Amino acid sequence: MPSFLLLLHEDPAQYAELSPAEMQSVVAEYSTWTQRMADAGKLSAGVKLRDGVGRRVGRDAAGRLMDGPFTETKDVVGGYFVVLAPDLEGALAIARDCPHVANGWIEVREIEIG
Amino acid sequence: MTSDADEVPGLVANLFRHSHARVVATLVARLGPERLDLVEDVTQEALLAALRTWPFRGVPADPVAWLFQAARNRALDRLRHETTARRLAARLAAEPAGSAEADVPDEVLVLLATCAALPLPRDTVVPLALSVVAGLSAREIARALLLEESTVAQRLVRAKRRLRAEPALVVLRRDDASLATALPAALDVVYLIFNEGFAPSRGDDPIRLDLIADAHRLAEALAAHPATAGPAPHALAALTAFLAARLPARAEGGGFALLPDQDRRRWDQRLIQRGFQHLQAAIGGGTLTRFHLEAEIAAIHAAAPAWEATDWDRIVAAYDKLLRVEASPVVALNRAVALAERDGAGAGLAALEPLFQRGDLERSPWYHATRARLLRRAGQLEPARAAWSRALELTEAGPARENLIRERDRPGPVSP
Repeated sequence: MPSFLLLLHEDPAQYAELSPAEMQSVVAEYSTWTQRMADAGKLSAGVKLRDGVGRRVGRDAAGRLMDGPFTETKDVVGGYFVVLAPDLEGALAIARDCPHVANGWIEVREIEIG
Repeated sequence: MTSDADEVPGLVANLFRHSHARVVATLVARLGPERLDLVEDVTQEALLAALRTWPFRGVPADPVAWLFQAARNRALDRLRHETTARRLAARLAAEPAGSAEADVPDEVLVLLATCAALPLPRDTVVPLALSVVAGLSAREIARALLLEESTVAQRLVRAKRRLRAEPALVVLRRDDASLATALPAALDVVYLIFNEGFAPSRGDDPIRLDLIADAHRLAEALAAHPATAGPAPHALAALTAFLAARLPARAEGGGFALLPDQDRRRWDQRLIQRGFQHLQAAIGGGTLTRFHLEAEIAAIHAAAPAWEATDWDRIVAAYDKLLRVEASPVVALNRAVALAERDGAGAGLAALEPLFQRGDLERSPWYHATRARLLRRAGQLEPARAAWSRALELTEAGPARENLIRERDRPGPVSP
């Protein structure tokens, strides 16, 4: 079955004002969802990217290798899931069902195999 | 907390809130109270790290140890950046990497006393203690204190800025004298935690049992601790016991039943007995606090076989006394309800009139709902409708809203 990458974008600052109890309900929502996906055989991996500001490496207009500038801080990829679905429409349905759509946005990409 | 929380392995109810208190208490005990600011920051950061990591990697096998470790590592990082703090970092690094083992609630009493002893205005100490000790957000504190959220947030920011500028102000208060001095503020804080448990400002739970249990435990701890024991904490423990006893009858099919509609056979008789024991212990010494009078009112309700059979004379008399001790608009509101039961809706509305004129409770949904009930009973349907609308505007939580809507749409006159 085709695999899809669900890149979870968010603004990490949105959680700063939550109380501990509120934070726990957010964790509970995601955990319930991942459990349900895993039980249904639809989830193949979950990876958390280390927090912190990312850097960009590339060449500038003059062809010099540059280290920087910093990446966005308001739109950060916090981590990603790899999910299994028969087609893009199926993967989109999984993404729409993910609690993350209430806290940010999800980029869905099919993983090329073979 | 949603019911989902119970279904996630390892994510026990109140894990985050209780861990917050335990990690803060443990780190403050090890690093010294002048580091409260840093400790609060790293604990919050550890919870945030859990919030952003666990969804991908699952809840760890020992989540409390994970949180403690995350907070401890962040504290170490920060301390290593401060040359003056090298000694502290060494002390913390030498600790076994176990989890938080603070003795609750004694450590929590110490935290309360530490907050209460800060040279900050009282209107700042109580919100700060609610944030540090109970882990309530600015929004929850604002509701408990009937303040704007921005006002509370500002006070918290100012307090934390001041503590950061003068860390020497924070002294960990473990001695009996400090615990005794802190008692009035501690009682206020416990009372407010309890109230927030009864009418949560957010979330789908009609009652936050966790907060009520915490507050009752803290009240009993204050009543039992040799440094703080006395009539006032006994009275507060009586009050929390009487009100907690009603909980089994309060939750009802997703919503909640108010006192008049509760099935009193479902009240917890063991807690009621406990309430009467505390009330006994609270009497004497000539001390009469608002907790005594509120506990007395709760005791009269606990002894009444039904709402209609309540001794309204004694309740109104107790509210009259309470108004002299605590001239708060909330007390005046409750007195008006009792008065309406004794003398009719007109008398209740007349008692509400000064509150209405002054706008004291303009932001309280309970006030508008009470007014709506009395107006309807008095046959003033148009103003009643306006009052229901205002009550609904101010009510955020789901079940409380549903209750109000159900009641508004209930046919015929209803009792408050």
